[in-house]
Amino acid sequence: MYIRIIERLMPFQMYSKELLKGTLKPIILKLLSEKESMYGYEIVQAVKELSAGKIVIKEGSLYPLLHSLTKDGTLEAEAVMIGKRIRKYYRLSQKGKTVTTESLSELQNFIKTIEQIIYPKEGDYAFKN
Amino acid sequence: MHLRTDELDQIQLYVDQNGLTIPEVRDDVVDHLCCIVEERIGEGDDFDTAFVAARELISQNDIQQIQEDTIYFLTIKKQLIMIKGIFITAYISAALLVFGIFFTTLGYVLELPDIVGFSMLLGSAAFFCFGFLPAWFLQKYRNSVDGIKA
Repeated sequence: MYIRIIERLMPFQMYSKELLKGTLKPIILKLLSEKESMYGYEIVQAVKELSAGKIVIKEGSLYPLLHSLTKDGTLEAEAVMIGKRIRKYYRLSQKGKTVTTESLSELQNFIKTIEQIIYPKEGDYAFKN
Repeated sequence: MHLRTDELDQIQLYVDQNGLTIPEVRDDVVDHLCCIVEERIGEGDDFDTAFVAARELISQNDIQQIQEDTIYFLTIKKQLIMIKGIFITAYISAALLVFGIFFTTLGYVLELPDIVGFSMLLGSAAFFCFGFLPAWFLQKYRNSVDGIKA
């Protein structure tokens, strides 16, 4: 039961929730910027494959976010009939392209800052004292 | 390969029974479950075994969580605006009340026309009755409804 609760709290597997919190949005936007359009299951599989199985997006985190990004105009959704069911393909809107650039730039900047703190090089503030 | 109509019906029933009512998200989750089932069938499982595996990946709790999280994402901005509105109208109403009492008292002591103080008291009452109270009651009502649904 406790494992179930922990899984519920974690949007990803393998990495801790704290470590990966906030990266789901840039990951999805980056994927969509490289492909014309993708559907939910395809996004989950792509992330799993690209991360060699280390990051598995939980459906419970993916769909609320996709829906929210669609609602605020970052993504556009197109419904396509697959047999007798509806499949929604998501793609970046014009606004979404700008949001993606900003989001990736922010993430890159954040990663650099964390690197500077965790692995300071000679000449950085940590060695000045 | 595509699932048969009766198999698709079973998947849709599973999603519906677990309370996923937002149509766009429902379609996504149904399609996601179908993809898992189809993949498992492609690997040699029969439908029933594949559907059990899909339900383990997306459990009843997961479906309910998707519904709750989607509503949260969609309403959080509105809720924040509403809370900000409650605080702003409460502040304006209280400030007008204090200044209204001050100017009314000042006007009474100095025997000046008390139109300024009266206007402020009237403004305070207006902000309280038509700004603060409706927003506050609406927020309380929504919280109560959410509490009942949860």
